[in-house]
Amino acid sequence: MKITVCDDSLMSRKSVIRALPETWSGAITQCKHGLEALEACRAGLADILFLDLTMPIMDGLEVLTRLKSEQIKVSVIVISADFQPKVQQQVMQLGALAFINKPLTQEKLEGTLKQVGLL
Amino acid sequence: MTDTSMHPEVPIEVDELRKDALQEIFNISMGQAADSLACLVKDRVYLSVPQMHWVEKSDVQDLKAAMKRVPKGIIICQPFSGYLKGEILVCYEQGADFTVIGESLAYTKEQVQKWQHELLLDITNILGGACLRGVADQLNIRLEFGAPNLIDRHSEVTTILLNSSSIWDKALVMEIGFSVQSMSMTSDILICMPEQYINKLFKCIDHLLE
Repeated sequence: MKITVCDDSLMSRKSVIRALPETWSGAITQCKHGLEALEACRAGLADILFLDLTMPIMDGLEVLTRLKSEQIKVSVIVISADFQPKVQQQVMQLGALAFINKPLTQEKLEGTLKQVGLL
Repeated sequence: MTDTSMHPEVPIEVDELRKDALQEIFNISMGQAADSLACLVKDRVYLSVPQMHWVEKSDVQDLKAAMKRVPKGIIICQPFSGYLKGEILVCYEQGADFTVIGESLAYTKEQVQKWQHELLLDITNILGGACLRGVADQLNIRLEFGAPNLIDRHSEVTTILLNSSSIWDKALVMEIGFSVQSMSMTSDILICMPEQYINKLFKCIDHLLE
């Protein structure tokens, strides 16, 4: 399984990678902003994309919009500090599988992955 | 990452890892703060990516760089203490519409008109409180916050900072912009952490990065 983790914060990318299920194996691509993530998805480097929202250059909402319009099939899980109801609603409408509030914990991630059937 | 905002003569080095961690901690805390405010204004609160600067009061250019969104407006200060000491400065652009948040906070229509500054103090308290709680939780430290107070109604932030008797000369400043479209509100938040407390702050950060 190919995993892409997109967050402008190195600490947050690390926390996602640390929290991934031990049973998962596969290449992990790290992206510092949305455009890098979009390119990784276009290049087929992501079966699952863990996506932050507030980022420079291209934000997460734009990534979701582009993935939808380019019909790129990726399972997207948004992990964001901005978790206002309107944002969550928008994210789900744009085709994300799930939304996780930061700070991320292993339990939160595991629960979400089970909920969406990825674990 | 190029970084022109850091002061070259500052003795304490903020390496990239610490800077990244601090920005993310504030990003998460401000997300929680924005959610608290969003419930009251019944609209989305937009936040900028937090930016960190070393600011020396003697250097006006530092201050201007830190406060680029709202250089002039209504300025409110909220002090905090505990494990870290510092202050939150918020500069609100003039002319926001307080109808919805006024209703949420149980102000009458007349009170909304008359007591706009009190409403801004409330907003500051909601944002500042939630933000500091978020920081304290993540760093596992104790922080207490004082009451916000109105410093000035029409001043440039730079003037205020240069003249104020506040607690610092040089500080690590986290700058976050926020706006609420339905209120026509644009603001700049500066979380000022004086130089003398930075080592304590870094101790917590390093612990988190281990």
